[in-house]
Amino acid sequence: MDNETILSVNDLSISFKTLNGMVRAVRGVSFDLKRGETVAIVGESGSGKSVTIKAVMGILAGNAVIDSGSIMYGGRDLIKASEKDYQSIRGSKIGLIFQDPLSALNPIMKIGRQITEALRLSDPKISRADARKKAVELMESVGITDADRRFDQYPFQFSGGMRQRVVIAIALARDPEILICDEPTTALDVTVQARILDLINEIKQERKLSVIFITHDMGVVANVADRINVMYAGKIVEKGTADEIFLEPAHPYTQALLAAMPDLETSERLMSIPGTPPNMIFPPKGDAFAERNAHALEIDFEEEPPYFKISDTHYAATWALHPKAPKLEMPEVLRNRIARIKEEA
Amino acid sequence: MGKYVLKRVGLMVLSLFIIISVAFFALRLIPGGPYDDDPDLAPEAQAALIARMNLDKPLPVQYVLFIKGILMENNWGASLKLRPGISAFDIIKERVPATMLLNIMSLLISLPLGILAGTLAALYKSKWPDALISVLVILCISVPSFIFATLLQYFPAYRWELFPLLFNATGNTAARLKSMILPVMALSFGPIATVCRYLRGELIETLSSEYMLLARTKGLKRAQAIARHAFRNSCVPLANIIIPMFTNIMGGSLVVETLFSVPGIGTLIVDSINTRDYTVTMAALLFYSFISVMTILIVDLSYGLIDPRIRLGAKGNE
Amino acid sequence: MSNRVYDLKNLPPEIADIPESRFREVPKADHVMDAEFETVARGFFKDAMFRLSRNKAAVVAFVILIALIFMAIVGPSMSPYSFNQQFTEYTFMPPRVQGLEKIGILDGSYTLKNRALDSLGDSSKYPNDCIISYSNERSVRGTTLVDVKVNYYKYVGCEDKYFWLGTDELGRDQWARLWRGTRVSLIIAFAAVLSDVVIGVVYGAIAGYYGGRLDLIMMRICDIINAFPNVVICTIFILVFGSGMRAMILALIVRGWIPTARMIRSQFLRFRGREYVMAAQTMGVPNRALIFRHILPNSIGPIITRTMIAIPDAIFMESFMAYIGLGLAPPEPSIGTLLSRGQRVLMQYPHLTLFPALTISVLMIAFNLFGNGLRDALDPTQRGLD
Repeated sequence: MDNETILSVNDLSISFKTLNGMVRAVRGVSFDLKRGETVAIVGESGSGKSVTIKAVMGILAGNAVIDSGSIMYGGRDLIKASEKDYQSIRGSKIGLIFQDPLSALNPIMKIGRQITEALRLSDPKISRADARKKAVELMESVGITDADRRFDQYPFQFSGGMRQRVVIAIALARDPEILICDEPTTALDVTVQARILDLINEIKQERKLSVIFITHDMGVVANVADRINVMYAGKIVEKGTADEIFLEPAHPYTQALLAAMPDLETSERLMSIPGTPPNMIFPPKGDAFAERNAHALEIDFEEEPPYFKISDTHYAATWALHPKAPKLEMPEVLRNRIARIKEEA
Repeated sequence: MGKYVLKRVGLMVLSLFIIISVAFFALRLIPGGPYDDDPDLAPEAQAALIARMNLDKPLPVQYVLFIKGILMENNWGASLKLRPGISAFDIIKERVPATMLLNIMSLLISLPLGILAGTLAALYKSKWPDALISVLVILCISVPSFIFATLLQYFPAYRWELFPLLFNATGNTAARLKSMILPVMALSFGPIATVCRYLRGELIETLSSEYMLLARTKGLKRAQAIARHAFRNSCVPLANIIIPMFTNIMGGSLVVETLFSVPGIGTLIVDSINTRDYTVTMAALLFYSFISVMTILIVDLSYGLIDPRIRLGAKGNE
Repeated sequence: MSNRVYDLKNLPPEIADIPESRFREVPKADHVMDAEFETVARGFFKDAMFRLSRNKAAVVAFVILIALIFMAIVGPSMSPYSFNQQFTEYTFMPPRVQGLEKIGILDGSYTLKNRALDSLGDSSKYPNDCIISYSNERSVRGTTLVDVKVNYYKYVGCEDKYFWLGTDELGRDQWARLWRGTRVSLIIAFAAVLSDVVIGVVYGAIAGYYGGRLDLIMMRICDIINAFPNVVICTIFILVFGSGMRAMILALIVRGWIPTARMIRSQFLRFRGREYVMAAQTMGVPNRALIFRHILPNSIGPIITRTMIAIPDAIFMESFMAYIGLGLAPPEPSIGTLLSRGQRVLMQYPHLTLFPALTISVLMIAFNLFGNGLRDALDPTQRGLD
């Protein structure tokens, strides 16, 4: 794994115009994607993670405004790229897998045609037979059995997991180097989830892909991510390697998320996070999570915390890290679990 | 698919059978027998006519003969007053071309214009073209076709003398076409608006669908994605409204034909009602029902062809 | 400022020196945990009415509707003449309104075509100084012809009378007839639509609630009735039962209830399977209560919308029947009969068509706009969006 950064998002801020005012959906998000690695962005719905990757794909809704920031890819800023430039990146360089494979496939177009349509964009002169052959190969490579017959079927004839495999095949059709997965397992049955995750890991290895993985589920992240960005209220509140996030979570929100995650060993009562995310038309003055934080400090309500660097790879935006702050007690569930994991290792 | 077709066809046959039965009983129920109030008719002639109409036989026999007559011998009854003795079927046959010409022209104009306006409105949602089109749509949907017909007849035809007042059945093709412009226009405002409103709604929904996003992330251009995915998917449900639309046009043409003196089925129905020539009325109504039922059948079947979920027998709406 | 990064091992003074007092933990009770609702929950209908009141087009349409309904009630009695009083000597009078006549509109003037210029001075032909002006002077076979604009009221000698919207071929006051006709059309429409809703709700509820074979048969019956154009059904109905108001209403119901029944059925199918309904059922709630208390209330929005949209259809159908010669029996006017009678003399007396045409158009537009507004307001997915 070389350490070349292939995509870099810097200080990205995005707002949406609504009847009630500007919704500040993304506020100064920065993260890097290095070649061959999987970066996860974790957060609740509405935390701005999907908006961020829509910005990367250049498919933001019409009422979205990019207030500031840059998305550097291949030596240029995608925010400033023209629609025509984007055409050469979208699909061919960056592929996207959707949350809901049911609504992501055109219900009245044959599966095969939806794949060959993508193939044809890379190679407009490809013959019908070749396109079909390639598509069938693709379908097989993502684990669709009996691909030749299923080529002529419609989405409604596929199960949820199979549909997601089709969506993956479409994303891979043009051989992108970056694959963005937007909650790829959320809409699927639990039994299917693991298989799709395995498939994504597998194709990532095979095709040497770099992956951005969006999810709200810390359990899913544990299986796939090299590095993790935790997002809350449009801001990345903690970033670090998977080990750092799971074993040394520094931000109260990350801790709360982890404490709410079920696993096989935990016998204590899981914790829930009280309250709801703030109204992003009027983002709170200080730390956006303060309202829901059981150990909130006075300064949390007054001043937005900067990022504190814990190690070269680990940063968190919380006043709890300040030397003068009282030591943040991890929830008991989490403390026990981390101890157990460390023991096993 | 076979089962679907069979079911549809069966339903339509049943529908036709019922409407024929209703027509039979309605004819017998209309107050005053068909020849009661006709002083010109000699008693012998009246008896002969009654015998020919099988009115002297018991009701069940009459009923069977009536249905047999329509199905086997194309005998829809004979005209009583308009052209006494002439077969109603023949009278209708003469009137079909004008009506069909009018209706089909209106449909052919309405569909593309409605689709165009609906697409424009959807693509410029909440901008001025959308607002303008919405106002026109409300106007065209609300104001009945016979008001449009009256308006067109009074201003462009009577006051400005741009078009002939009435349909020109005898002139050359150019004159005939020119005289058809106003009636076709009057018939088309409503359907254009209906298509436009429906397509706008569908298109806006598909434009914001996930599969449009997927199409974009594949790398399709916006125009390509709209044409290949959104547009086609939005046009499929149009089949839903073509049935009521076509029957609406046909209904509207009843009055519009009369206003412009188009020698079609509509004028025939109105004339036959006014002269109390009920066999002709009923035959013409039967004809309308046949057309309506056939339209429903055709649209149902073609809908099955277009939408794979119906063709392949998937249950429910996914 | 939010994206500044500080190394924990090497904090700059402005961060390191933040006074310790600001890092006091805020006791839990001092800040909200699970947020309480700040606003009083608005009921569904209050919410819908609020949204409706923000829809300008719907509000205007509503005001117009109220005005038209008001006129339909009191309009006929505002005129000194009754709707079926015939002035055989004052037929086809043009409209004339006090006050407005002074500014030249609705002043009772009428243009007589092709009159000999010589005869204009003849006071037996043109009494009471009725001539206002003449135009279009031309010579035809030696005589000079002109179009003479006269005060028609002076011309026929009833200067004291004011027929606000003129009179028809029997000399009946059009004002009284128009509003009487509006009233009749509205009554027919309301009666038909209300019956449609009652029948449709009961039918749809039974089909949707019990489902299965019964539902299948009931829906096939709908399909079959629906296969016939409304025109055909209404015509047959009126031919058989005569053209009174009651027959007209019944004719409109024959097919009118089907859309409501289908809508209610699909609502019932949808809510029948909901957990809360099944829960109620397992607790032994009787069918009747399940239908009326648990499922039907969900459909009230769509029912109201459907009603509003069906009314202009019924008004249209009534006029339509009048046009094809199956209107109400005279002397009772309806908008349709007024229109179809006016149509016969459109070229000579356009005012007989103009006013009913305007009334029906405005009525239809207002109903449609208001119906659309109601539909948007009652759509639960729109709730709280604005």
